[in-house]
Amino acid sequence: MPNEVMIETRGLTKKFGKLMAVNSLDVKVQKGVIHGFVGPNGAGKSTTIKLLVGAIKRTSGEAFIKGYPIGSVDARRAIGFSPERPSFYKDWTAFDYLVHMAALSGVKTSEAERRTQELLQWLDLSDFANAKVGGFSAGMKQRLSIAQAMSHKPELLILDEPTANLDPDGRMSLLEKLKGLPREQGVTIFISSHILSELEYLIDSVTLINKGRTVAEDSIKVMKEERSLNRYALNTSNNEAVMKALQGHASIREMNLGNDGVIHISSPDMAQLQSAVMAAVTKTGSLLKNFGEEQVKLEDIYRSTMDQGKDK
Amino acid sequence: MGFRDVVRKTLIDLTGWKRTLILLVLGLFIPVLTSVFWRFSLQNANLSPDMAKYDVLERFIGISFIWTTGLFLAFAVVTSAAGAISKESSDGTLLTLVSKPIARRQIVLGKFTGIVIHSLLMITVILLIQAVILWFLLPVEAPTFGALLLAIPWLTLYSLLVILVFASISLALSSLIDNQVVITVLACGLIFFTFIFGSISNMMFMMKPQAYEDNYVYMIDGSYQFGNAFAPALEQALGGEMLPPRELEEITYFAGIFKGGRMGDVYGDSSEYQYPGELANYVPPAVSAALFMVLVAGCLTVAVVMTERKDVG
Repeated sequence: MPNEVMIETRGLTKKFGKLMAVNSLDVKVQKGVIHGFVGPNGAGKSTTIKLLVGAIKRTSGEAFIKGYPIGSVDARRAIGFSPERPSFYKDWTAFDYLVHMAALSGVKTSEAERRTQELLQWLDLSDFANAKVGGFSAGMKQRLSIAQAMSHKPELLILDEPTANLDPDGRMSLLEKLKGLPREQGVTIFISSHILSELEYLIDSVTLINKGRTVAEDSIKVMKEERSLNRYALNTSNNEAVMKALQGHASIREMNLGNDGVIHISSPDMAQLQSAVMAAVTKTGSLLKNFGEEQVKLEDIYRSTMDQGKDK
Repeated sequence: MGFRDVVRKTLIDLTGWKRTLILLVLGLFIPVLTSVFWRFSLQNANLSPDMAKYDVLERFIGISFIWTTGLFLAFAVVTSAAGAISKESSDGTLLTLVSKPIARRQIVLGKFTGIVIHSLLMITVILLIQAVILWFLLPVEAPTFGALLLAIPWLTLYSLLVILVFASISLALSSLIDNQVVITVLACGLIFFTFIFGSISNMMFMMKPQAYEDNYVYMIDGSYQFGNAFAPALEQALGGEMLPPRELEEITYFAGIFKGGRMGDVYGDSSEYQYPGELANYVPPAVSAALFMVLVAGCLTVAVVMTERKDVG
C-alpha cells in the first residue's frame, strides 16, 4: 500500500556464504527528500542498493519501496537505478538505448522518444544522441546511466556513486540538477557517495552504515544540531596561552586543541563561557580571530560515528 | 510491453550484418559445395526429367536434414542463445535490466521468442537461397524448382523443432553458467552427440540390434527422435510419397531411424543390394515431437527459475 515512507527496511540481511554483507539493516527514507547512504568500503552499501532494486535476493528481514515488497514489479516501477559501474549495449546509440530502457519500464514509444530528447538535453548529451555508446567517455556514460534511470519518471532515484567519473564541472552541474529534483518533480533520491562534501551540499537526511549495520540515521540538520549543541570553537592569535588561562573554569566541561588549530570547547553555559573567553583573551593579550558554535560537517559526523563503531 | 521490447532487442542483437553474413556463408557452404559435385554426377546420369526432379528433391532434402536444418541450424541457435543471459550478466547490463519493472520470466521468454523468430526467418531465407542455388547449379527444369519451393515449408516446420530444442537447452545452460564459452562448448558437445548418436548407435548395436530395442535406448537417442519427428515432414516435403527405402535410408542415415544390422549392406556390393533395414517405428512421430516439447518446457522452466533466483551484480 502506498504511503509517505519511500524506503523502509526492517532487519534486512544478506549473506554470501559465510560473509554477512548486510546485517539486520534498518533504514527509513521519507518521500520527497534526498537521502545519503554513507559508509566505508565494504560496509554493504552496494549490496543494500542491489537488494533494494531487486537485483539480489535477501537472506532475511523485509524491505519495502513505497510500501511494496522489494523486488516486486510494483516496487521496481517506482525506482530508477543508476549503478556504480554502469554498463550499456555498446553498439546502440544513446537515443535508442534510452528509448529501449523507457519502453522496458512500460513507457509508450512516442512518449519514450519525447522523454529521451528531454533527458539528453537536461544532461547535456543532445549532441551525442546518435553516437554509439561504446565510444562515450566515462563521464558521458555516467550521465547516460542517470538518464536511463530517469527515463520512466520514477518516484525514487537510487544512485550509486553517481559523480564517480565526472570532472569537477560535470560534478557541480549534476549536483545542481539533482538538488532541484525533489522540489521540481517530487522525486525522492537515495544516493550513495564517498565524496562527503558533495553529499553534504545535496542531502536532507543520511544513513551511516558500517559492517552491514545502520550506525546512525537522521536528518542532516538534526545530526548537526546534536553534535554542535553546547560545543564551541575558539581561535585566537595565541591559542595555547588562552587555553592555559581558561583551564579549570567552571563553565568549561571539556577543552582541547584540535588538529585544525582551533580550540574545541564543550560548555553548558554560553554566557559564562563568553565572559571567560573575553577575560582570557584580554589577560593573555591575544587577538580573537573567531569564536562561536561549532560548525559540524558531515565528515565530522562520519568520523565520530565510525570511530564510535571502532571503539565498540 | 516489456516482453515485446525484450523480443525486439534480441532480434536487433541477432541481425547484425557481420553475424548475418557469417551465418549465410556457413549455412550455404556445404550445400553449394555438394551441388557442384552433384552437377557432374547428374550430367552423366542421363535421367528422365521425372527421375531428375526426384533426384534433386531427394538431395535437397537430404542435405537440408543433415546440414542446413540439422548441424548448422543447431550451431546457429546455440551461438545465439548461449549468451542470452550469461552475456548480459558478464557485461553488467543485466543489473540495469533486472531493476526495470519487468518480470524476469518475461526477460527469459522474450529472449527465447526473439531467438526462435530470428532462427526461423534465417533458416527460411537460407533454404530459399539453397533452392535457388540448386536450380542454378544443377541441370534441372522449372518444375523441379517449384518442387523444391514446396518442400521448404515442411523443412521449416521441422526446423522449428530443432530451434525450440536447442534454444531452450542453451538458454537453460545460459541461466546456470555465466561463462559463454563453456556454455557453447557444452551445447556443441550435445549437438555432436545428438546428430552423431545415430551413426554410433548403428555401429554399437550392429551385432545385437535387439539390445537397442530391448533396453529402450531409442528413447534417449536424440538422433532417432529427431529423425522420427522429421519423417512426416519428409513425407510431405516429397509430395506425400515416401521415398523408396534405400533413398530414405541414405537421407535419414544420420538420424538412426532404421533398425541396426545393415551396415554391411550399405557399404557392400550395390548390385546385390537388398534393403535389410526396417524403418524403426518404435514410437509414433508425434510422440517424438511431444517428447521434445516436454524437453523444451523443462529447459525453459529451468531457465526461468534459475534466472528468477539469480543474484545479479
